[in-house]
Amino acid sequence: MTGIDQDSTKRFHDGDPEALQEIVTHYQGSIFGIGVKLLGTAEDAKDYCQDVFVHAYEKRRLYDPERPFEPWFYKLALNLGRQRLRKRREIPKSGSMPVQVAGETAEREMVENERRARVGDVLRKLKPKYRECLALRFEADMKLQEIAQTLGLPLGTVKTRLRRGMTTFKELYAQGGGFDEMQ
Amino acid sequence: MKCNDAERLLADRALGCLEEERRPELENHLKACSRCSREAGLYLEAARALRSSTPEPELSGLAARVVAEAVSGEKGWLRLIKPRIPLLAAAAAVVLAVVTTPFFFGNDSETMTRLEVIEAYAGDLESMGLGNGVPGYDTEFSYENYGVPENVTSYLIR
Repeated sequence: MTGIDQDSTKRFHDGDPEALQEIVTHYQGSIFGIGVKLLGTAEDAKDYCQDVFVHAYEKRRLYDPERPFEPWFYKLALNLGRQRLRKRREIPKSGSMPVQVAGETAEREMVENERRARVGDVLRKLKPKYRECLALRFEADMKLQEIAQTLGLPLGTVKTRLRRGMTTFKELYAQGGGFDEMQ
Repeated sequence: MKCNDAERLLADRALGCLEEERRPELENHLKACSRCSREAGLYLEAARALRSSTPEPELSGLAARVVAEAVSGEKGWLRLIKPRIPLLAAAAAVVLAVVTTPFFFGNDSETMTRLEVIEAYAGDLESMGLGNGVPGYDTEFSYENYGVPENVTSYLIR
C-alpha cells in the first residue's frame, strides 16, 4: 500500500479543498476497484466512489492526522459499501458490470467484458466478509497487517478469510468456465 | 508436505502473502505433484482475474466534482447559520433583558418596567429580522422563536 504524504492528510483534516483533490486523485482507482468488487457494477462503483470522498471530507475531523490515513479512510469506505449492500439486501443484478473501455477494439472489449462479468458474478456469490478482504488485498494492495488494522480484526482471522475467499473464488470461477480461455 | 497443506499455501502464494520460509518446501512439492502443480496454475490465474477485474474507470473529472460537492455542502451549512448569528445575538439580548429587568429596574412607576425594556429592544430586533434580505425570512419572523413569552408578544404586537 503506497500512502499519500502526511502533509496532504493534515491539510485534508484542516479542510483544504486542494488536499481533498490530491486524495481523490491518489485513491480513486482503489476505491473504484473496491466499489466494483463489493457492489458488482461499474455504475454503482462510480456513484459509490464519489460518495466515499464526499463523506470522508464531511467526517475529516474524526480522523487523527498524527495517525496513518489509510486504515481510517478504507474503514469509512467499507462501512459505506456495507450500508449500500444492506439497502440493496444483496439482490444480485443480472448482466452486471457493463463497462466501456476506451480505445480497445470491439472484439477485445467484448471478451474483456465477459471475463469481468464472470469475475463479478463469482464475487457476488462470496460472503461480503470475504469480498471485503479480497478487495483490500487486490485493490488497495494492503498487507495482511494493514487489512487487520483497517477491519479491526485479529491477523489470524484476516488470513483465514483471505484463504477461504481465494479458494472459494477459484472453485466457483472454475465452475463458471473462467479458466476455459487459458486452456 | 501433504497436498492439503500445499493447497493452503497455494492460496497464500496467489494472494502474495506466502511466508518466505515455506516457499522452498512448497516449490519442491509442486515439482513432485502434478495435481498440486495444476492447482497452483489455477490459483495464480484466479488471482490474475481478480487483479484485472476492475475496468479502467471513467473517473475523469471526479476530483473536481467531489471538491465542488464537498465544499458546496460545507458552504450550505454556513449559509444556514451565518445570517442568523446577529439575529440570534439580538434575541439573546432581549431574553437577557427579560430575565434581568426586575433586578435592575424594579417595578415601581418611576423606573422602566420589564415590558418597556423589551419594547425598547423590540424595534431593533424586528428591523434586523425584516431587513436582512434573506429570502423567506421575513414571513418566518416571530418573537416566540426568540424566547419572548406569548403574553409579551401579544403586548408588543398590540
